[in-house]
Formats: sequence, C-alpha cells, structure tokens
Amino acid sequence: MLRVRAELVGGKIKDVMLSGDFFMVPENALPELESALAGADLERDGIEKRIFDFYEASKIQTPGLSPGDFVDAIMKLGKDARETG
Amino acid sequence: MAGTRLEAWRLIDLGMAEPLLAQTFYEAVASEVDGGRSPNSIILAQPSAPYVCIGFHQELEEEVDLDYCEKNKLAVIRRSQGGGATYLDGNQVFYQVVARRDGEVVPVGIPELFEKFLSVTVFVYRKLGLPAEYKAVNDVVVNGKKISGNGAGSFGKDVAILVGNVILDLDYDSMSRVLKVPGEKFRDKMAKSMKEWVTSINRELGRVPSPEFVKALLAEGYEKILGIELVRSGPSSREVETWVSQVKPRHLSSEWLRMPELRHGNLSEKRA
Repeated sequence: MLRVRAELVGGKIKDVMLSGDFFMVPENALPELESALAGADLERDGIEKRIFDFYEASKIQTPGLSPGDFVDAIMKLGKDARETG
Repeated sequence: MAGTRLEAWRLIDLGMAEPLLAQTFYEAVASEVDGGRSPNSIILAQPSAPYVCIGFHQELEEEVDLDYCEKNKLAVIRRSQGGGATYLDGNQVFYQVVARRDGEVVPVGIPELFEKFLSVTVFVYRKLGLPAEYKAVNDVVVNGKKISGNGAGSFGKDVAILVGNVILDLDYDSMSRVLKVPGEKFRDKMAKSMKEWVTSINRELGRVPSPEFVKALLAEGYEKILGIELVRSGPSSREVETWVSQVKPRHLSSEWLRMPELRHGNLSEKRA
C-alpha cells in the first residue's frame, strides 16, 4: 500500500510525503523522490515525467511496485489533499 | 580464472539475541563488508523476546497500536528494509545475507536476488517435508499460503542485503493485536484473514523442528545452492563496536522511529 500526503498550493505540490509497505532499493532514495515532486503541477503528464526521470537517473528498484503506481497514487491527491493556496 | 575454489563466506550465529540485536546487527556487518574489512556473511538469529517491526517507509502511528505495545513492553523497531508491519518472536529463525555484488554469487537485480536466495528457504521447507515454492517477488508459499517474510536492500556502494525468516510458529492473535485497526470488529476479521494467507511449520506439519536443525538446513542450503563454503565465526570487534556506537543509538532515536513523519512535520501535524 502506498500512502500519499501532500500540501497543494495553487494546484502545485508544495510538499509531499510518500509512505507505505513498499520496498525501494536503495531505501534512502525516497526523500529525493519526494523532493523531485515538489513544485510540480498536479497534472498527470508532468508527474509521470518527473517520476520516470527519477527512476532513470537514480537507478532505484522498487520490486512489486512500478513507477506508474506512484503516478496513480499521486494523481488521487486531487480529492484528498489540503489546498492551502 | 577463479578455478574450482569456492568462495568462502562467513556464518555468524547470534543464537537467541535481544530483539534490537537480532533485527539490526546486520547493519553493522554491512558497514564492514562494504568497507572490505569483513567477508560476505550470513547471519542467523532468533529474537529472545517478542517485538513489533515496521517497514522502513511506514508511518509508525498509522501502523502500530503504540499504547498496547507500551503496556505489554513490546519494543517497536523500524527496520532498514521496506515491507509491512509485523509481530516477531522466538518462533521465527532469522537469516540475513550481507554480500558484495562484485562476485558471481550475488545478482544485481532485486527480483533475481530474491529468486536465487529464496531457493535456499524453499530447500529448507522441502527438507522438512513441506511442498514449498518460490513466489515472485519475495515470498515462499506452502499450499498457497505465505510461510516466510523477506526483504531486500542495499548498503553503501555495492553491498546487497537480503533478510527473511523461517516461520516455526505464528501467534496470530498477537500479530493482529499490535497493528492499528479502525475498530475491534476489524481486528477479528484481520486475525481470520491472516490465518488464510500466512502459515507456519507448526500449522502445516503439526510439529516444530528445533531451531538448531533449521539453522543447519539453512547453512546446507546456502552452501549447495549458492556454491559457497561457509566458515563459522563470531562477529568482528569492529562490527560489535559499530553496532553499539552507531546502529543501536540510531534505532533507538525518535528521529529514526518517526522518520517519515519528522521529514514532513508540517504534513503529519495537520493530519486528521
């Protein structure tokens, strides 16, 4: 399960926290993935590009979880996230 | 050419070890293996007391009933590998593999690492008379039920880590009791569903082999399947020193236990 908490300001991700029972090797790459999402518009193509680029550049492995799973979880933010801007 | 000489790996048996040692000592070993000061190693252990273990990326308070754990003096440990929250006790035999990827034995890809090393776990269960099979990505199943929990990770530049357990017996009630659930009705449901998807040697065979026998089978399996030679030894003094001075304090700190929450104080403070 992948849990996403985020703060949205004016339709952009200000801060995002990813948590859950997934594996990421190396495990300590997660904060960098979160940082790579900060400032992004909550819009599928842009989120997808940031996540896919991060996988490519960092060579992380997430057995059992695909980059698309992160995209889907983040795109669900629309209704759950707090819009503060 | 390497010739026919087998790679020598170290086998460390920690015996019955306090939960934090049983759960985290491999991190000190990984640091020494990464630095080239220790050989590739396999650690075996059993926790001397029950405890709760959460996955590296989980939020502590979302997963664990902390009041219950405190009242029942159960330690809660965040492991350095991913995966889910679980209850562990002396009825699980732990294996922890710490090895450099530069040889021929250790695959680079995590799925391949699981498949190769979990064939040893499968070997152990089969030797005990159970029809065990590997199930991608990180499971070993018997009659469709999970019978071994496994995680993998990396350390430093090139060290692979694989940790898992052979489940002699399971305390389903405690397992469902320590996890946070929306209500007590849900807890009964969870205990029931756990019985449907996780099993143990005791449940499948009606008896529990001795931990020593299981450890001997693990050692035999690693040697045969990986094509290595295991040399029994204790940990090095540097490993003990690293565990005491770095690994243990890190795991006991609030910064480690509440890592995701503290990284995003703003987000977790305001949650419902």
